Amino acid sequence: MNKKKLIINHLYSQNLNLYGDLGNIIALKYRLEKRNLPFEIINTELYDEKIHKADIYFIGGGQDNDQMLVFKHLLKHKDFIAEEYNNGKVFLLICGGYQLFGKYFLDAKGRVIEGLDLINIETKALDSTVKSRCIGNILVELSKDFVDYWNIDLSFSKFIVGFENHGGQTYFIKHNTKIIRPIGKVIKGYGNNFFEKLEGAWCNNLIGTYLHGPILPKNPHLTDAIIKKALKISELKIFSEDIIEYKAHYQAMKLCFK
Amino acid sequence: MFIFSVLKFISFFIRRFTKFNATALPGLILEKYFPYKIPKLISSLEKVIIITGTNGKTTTTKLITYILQQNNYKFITNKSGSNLVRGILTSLIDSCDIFGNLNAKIGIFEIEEGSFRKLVHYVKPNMVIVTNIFRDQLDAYGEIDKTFEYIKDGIKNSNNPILVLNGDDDRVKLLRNFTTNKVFEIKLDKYLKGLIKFEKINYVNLEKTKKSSNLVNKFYIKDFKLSFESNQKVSCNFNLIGSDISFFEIKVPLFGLFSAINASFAIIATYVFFDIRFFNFSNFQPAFGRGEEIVLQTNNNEKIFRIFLSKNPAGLNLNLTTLSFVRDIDVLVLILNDNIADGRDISWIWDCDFSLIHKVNFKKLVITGTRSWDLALRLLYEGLNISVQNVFEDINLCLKSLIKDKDIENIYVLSTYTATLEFRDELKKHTNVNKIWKHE
Repeated sequence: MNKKKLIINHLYSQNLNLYGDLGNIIALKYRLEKRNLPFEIINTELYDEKIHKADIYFIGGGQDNDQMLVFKHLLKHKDFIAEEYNNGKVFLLICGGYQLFGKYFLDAKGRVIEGLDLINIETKALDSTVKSRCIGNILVELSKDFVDYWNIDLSFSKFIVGFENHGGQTYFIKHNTKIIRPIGKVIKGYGNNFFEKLEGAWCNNLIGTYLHGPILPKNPHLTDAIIKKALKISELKIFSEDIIEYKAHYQAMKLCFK
Repeated sequence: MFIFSVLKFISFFIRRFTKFNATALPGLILEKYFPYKIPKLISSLEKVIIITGTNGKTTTTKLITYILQQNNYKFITNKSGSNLVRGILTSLIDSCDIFGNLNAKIGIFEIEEGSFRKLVHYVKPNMVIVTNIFRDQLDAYGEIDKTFEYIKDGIKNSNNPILVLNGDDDRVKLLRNFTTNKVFEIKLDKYLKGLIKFEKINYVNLEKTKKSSNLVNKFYIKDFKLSFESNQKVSCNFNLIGSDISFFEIKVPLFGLFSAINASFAIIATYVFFDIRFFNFSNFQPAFGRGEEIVLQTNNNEKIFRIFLSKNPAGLNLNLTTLSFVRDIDVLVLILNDNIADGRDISWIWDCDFSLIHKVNFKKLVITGTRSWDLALRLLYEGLNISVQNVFEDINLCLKSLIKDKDIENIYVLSTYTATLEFRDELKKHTNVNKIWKHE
């Protein structure tokens, strides 16, 4: 068994902490602890001069004001992040974090805000075509290529469940050579945008998604997939039957159809 | 004249012939179809206090009206929970004659944060109390900065009101810049401050607001303690120390530090506005689900249910802190619902500091509600042992199992808004066989 210490960097935990996304860190911590896998959770905040190196980088959602501040900080470290991305480090980006890693963001006044350009997406603020935020329970059926690449344990579920709450409308940029795919098909809810019924994006070892809820606790197959990818292993020790995880996953699924 | 008599008749009709309480509909009709009649209705209101903020509105409002009653003031107030514009208008309709003349000149109204700026079109408060701004129902408002903006707009569009603010909440404190009238702040003493974690401001936009020149009158909550009397009645005791006037040995028969803050708002508001210096809270009854006690006589024993509304991280953290002072908790019941009135998004449970639950001394943990398994998972990941048979998707089944259990007497319930309603309703159903009464 790989006994290297896994480093998880929760980026900007003080600013982007709005929708329970801390639960993702709690879930990673719990499932690593139960398997006696050594790990350390660190933070990089706005006042830090550099982004601390890690195996898993996590960014949650936050208020617009906070996101702008975070973004300025992130842009200063664009090269470092690109390098880590190319080295195959794992990134989990939620909502605002997901948008920041795209090519650009078009705000309500039509201004273009350049993104980190690691994911080939563009995000538009609400306008006359889409007027209201995408809010509600969301159920996503994972795509086959995502399941294969991330080695998702389908015996738990082929779905992921969560809660979305975003104004930004995200689209893939076509006519571009960078490979990018949605993480799945939206069965209930909105996903990336009002129209396409696709949710999230993944490329290399990076996952961007709109799912709060938070995403990881109720979707332990995804949590374990992230751990496996970060440790570069294909199997993880089974420590429980995940009954409560499954009940929560299933209860949330049922509520999507209520 | 015609309109008010019709609206009053509608209220009467609904209350007489349906099971509804008509706390909103008459006001809604007035607001929608006869808004031009509203100025006439409110014209005789001379003093209006508005209470807003995410937590503690209802209790603060109730405490203010309690003090006023004790000092023989006549006032109009909205029914607890009915805190949208229509709820306030309904309370005015209930208090006027058929010509639209009100029977009191004082209005004490709690208003939901988002509706405050709408209300000030009609009612201009002379005093605004802002209890706090916590993250609450973000699926409705999006962000806490928005909540701040809504309250700010309300204050700016009032007639330069006196402000009574939570002096420990950085966002709320900024509101003092939007009046040139007197500002009062309630603050916790140094050693208490750590017990409540208010939301931080992490960016400069809000802080840049220019510092106002008006003097702030500060009052400190000191020497706080929670005491239990022989019959298990609880009270919080504290002193409220100001620079010109102080209030000593205040005793409020409620749980928790929040209650001391709410009582302080009420004391300062009634002192500043009506020069009231004497009050006695000893017979104060907590508002719905705010530490409310319900006693159920079963064939086996007497069970006491104490219900604490916990609708956001701040409320839940506070209630857990409060329960850590309590001995003899037989069962801790946690209920999480995700109905619209609770907020559909339950991710806030991951923002709660559940490590506090390790300090709560309970014998058994029971979890229920539409999102029972999310909550069970949250607690499992906090390191608690969760037994699957103590998790109930159905609140009714949960209550039945509690009633059947001979060995339990003291039951503490932390629940979201609709869960509290549901749990109380289910409790009431057992009144046919058993008795429910409230502790005097």
